[in-house]
Amino acid sequence: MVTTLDKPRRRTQLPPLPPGGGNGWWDSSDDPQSLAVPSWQFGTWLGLGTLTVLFAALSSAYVVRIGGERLAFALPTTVWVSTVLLIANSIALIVARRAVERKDRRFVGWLWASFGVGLAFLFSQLVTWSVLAGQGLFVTTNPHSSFFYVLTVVHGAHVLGGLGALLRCWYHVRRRSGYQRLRRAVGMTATYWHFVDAVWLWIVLLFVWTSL
Amino acid sequence: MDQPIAHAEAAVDAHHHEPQSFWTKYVFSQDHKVIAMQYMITALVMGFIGMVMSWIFRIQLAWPDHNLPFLRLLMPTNMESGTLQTPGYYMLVTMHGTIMVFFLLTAILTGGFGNFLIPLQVGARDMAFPYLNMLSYWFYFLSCVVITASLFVTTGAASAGWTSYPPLSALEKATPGSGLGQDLWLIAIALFIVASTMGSLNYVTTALNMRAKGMTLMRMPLTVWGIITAAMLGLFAFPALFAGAVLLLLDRHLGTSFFLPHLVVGGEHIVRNGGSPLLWQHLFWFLGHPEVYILILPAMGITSEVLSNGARKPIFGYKVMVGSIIAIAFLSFIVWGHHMFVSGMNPWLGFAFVITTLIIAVPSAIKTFNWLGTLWKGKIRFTTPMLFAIGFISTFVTGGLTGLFLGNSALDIPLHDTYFVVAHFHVVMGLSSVFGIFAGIYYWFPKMTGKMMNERWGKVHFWLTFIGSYGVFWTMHYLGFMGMPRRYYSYDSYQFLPPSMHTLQMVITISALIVGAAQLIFTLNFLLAWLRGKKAPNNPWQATTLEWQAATPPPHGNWGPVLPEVHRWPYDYSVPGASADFVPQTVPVEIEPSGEHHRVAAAVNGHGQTNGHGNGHHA
Repeated sequence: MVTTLDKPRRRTQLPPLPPGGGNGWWDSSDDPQSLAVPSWQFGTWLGLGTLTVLFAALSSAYVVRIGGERLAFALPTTVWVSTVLLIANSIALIVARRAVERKDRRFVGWLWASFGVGLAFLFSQLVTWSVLAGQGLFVTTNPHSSFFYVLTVVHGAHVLGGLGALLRCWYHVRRRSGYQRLRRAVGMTATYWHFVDAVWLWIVLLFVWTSL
Repeated sequence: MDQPIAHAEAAVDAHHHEPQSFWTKYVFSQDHKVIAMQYMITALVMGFIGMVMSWIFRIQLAWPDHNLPFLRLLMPTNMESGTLQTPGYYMLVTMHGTIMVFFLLTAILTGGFGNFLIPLQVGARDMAFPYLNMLSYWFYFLSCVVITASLFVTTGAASAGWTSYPPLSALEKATPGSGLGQDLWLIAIALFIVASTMGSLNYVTTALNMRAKGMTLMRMPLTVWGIITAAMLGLFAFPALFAGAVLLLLDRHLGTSFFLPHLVVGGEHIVRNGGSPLLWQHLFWFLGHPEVYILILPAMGITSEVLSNGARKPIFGYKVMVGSIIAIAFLSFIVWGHHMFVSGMNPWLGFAFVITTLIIAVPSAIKTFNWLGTLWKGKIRFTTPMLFAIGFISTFVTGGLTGLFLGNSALDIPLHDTYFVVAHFHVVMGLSSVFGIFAGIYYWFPKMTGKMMNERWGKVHFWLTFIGSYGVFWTMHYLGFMGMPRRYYSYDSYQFLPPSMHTLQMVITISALIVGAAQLIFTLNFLLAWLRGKKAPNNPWQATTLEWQAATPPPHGNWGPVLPEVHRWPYDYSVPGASADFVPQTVPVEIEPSGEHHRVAAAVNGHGQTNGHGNGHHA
């Protein structure tokens, strides 16, 4: 049975829906001259566009730098564990977001699930790096290892940002910041995480491709 | 919810959000107008530092190795015995370029004008993300602190050129400035990119998503079009340089080989593994060329705005102007290779970059044609902003024409390492942007501060800057044709350089000092006007765009309880049948029974404002 907002039984209940909506007093997103999407969503997409260029620049630098040379080492198995974890993360956030849209407060549990999976991903990354180091593959060893470390560390920094965004959602729940604000925070966080997860898939594909 | 309640709530809410303390009102402010002024003043201070640097190295070039002890006051290190030392020269040109391109021009055009104008010209109360906007300024401020601090490092600031090409920038022992100074340069640039990204997200989102009722895209002033297109360029080009900066830091400190091949320097083997210095050039210029348009597009927008107002005529070919801005922005992403014609690239690849480069002349020429069309038979008011806007056209055409020379790889290869290139990019990118900025400052100063700048001193500033700048860069073109190489700190011992070059170098330096003196006039005018200037009316230029309908200076929230409503495009000057020679965007359009002519319905009062905000809609 779906537990709705109208029947708060547990500790983390959401505050009632405030009158109106939108971004705040300065927002005119109801206006016919605005885009179909709210500012926060548009801004998020635009920001992700910027991050796309960052990863595209690093990826193209990798392709140019190796000049057709094949990957000089085998990807550790933990890379696949990381991949599964991030796919699970995206699924958890899809469920969380849908729950928020339905005003089903079980979304909090899904956010924590996402947080746990994100942490697990970082741990599996640490294992991956230590496995590579154990094989004598360091950031200076060859261009493949250099770019592997750079791309995964830059990606890892974005995973940390995602964990911060999840904590911010939790903060809004605790503070009872209002449904619209919470919905916005969860929406932005989910969109961001899907992007981070997609970038991870891209990185893995890139290294699989250079090993062919 | 009915309107009166919404109205009351908006008013209460606006009052609630009004910052009360000194810190939240003037320091950590989230108000776009305060942030605009913070950006503008910080950028002008940085620009002043960059200009003083150019005075010192210009004195060295005019009077090589001459003993000038007084310069030690400006530069305690690298000026032993009153003569500028070689490392000091390279440090100065590097920091001059870096500061001028990023910390002055980019910052003031997008951070300064973007912040002030976008919400006011589209009819919004503030930016879409005010907190992010505040962070943007403070990251910029931090980047300014870091780059300025690098000047005081014992080994000196970065000296590998504003392009920071490796291996010079990657090897710590390459020059004195390749040590900590280069690290600080990279960190400052990375911080600047973060600041610029946060600002740009705001500019684009606000302009596209927070427009007042009736403000369709095709009713937005060209200033807004120019700034948001530049912001888009920043969003999609700066990350490439950020990636390059990260990789270069790793090359410098972790011993990676992204940009460094195996080298032998001074008999010492630098053991690296096949890195490519050209990879940095690609990453740098993928940002570097759009960066030129990040500077020029907002300046073009400002120029269009001021020209139409000063000529009392609608801008000629508005839609084509918008199309040209977008076309230039798109093309700017596929021309970066023209900076690398001498890198030994495949001639066919060079040929492709020649073609894309020359194509970009088409929308640029269209814009120039339209500016001239706007001036044609106009009732021109030669105010200070108008003079600077006309000056922009002059320098843009001059610099653009030499761009046609350099866009051809066959001509670029012999000219590339001469003063010709220095002259070209200074005129088309530096001077044009500066003229656009001055046009904008003189034009919007009354709205920003509520005071008028002195017109007479403004004109003196213009003429000294205009003639002096041509004195610098016209001459520099000749030196380039004569083969004067770039980057030489002293040249009097080379036989292939005739003595006449020395005379021309002196002409350039004297002209540069005159231009510098003119900027002191501007600074005084700016400060005195702000402190003691004549009170500005709400609409001193009798302009049509929305910002002139706001109070002067605009209050927090810009519009009071009622947002303006837009009924027409932004360039209704000299409309037939209108009682005044300008019709603000808030004045409704009335269709005559014949359906052929639009006529002005509302009266425009003597102060250039419509009679109240009766046409507005509630927030």
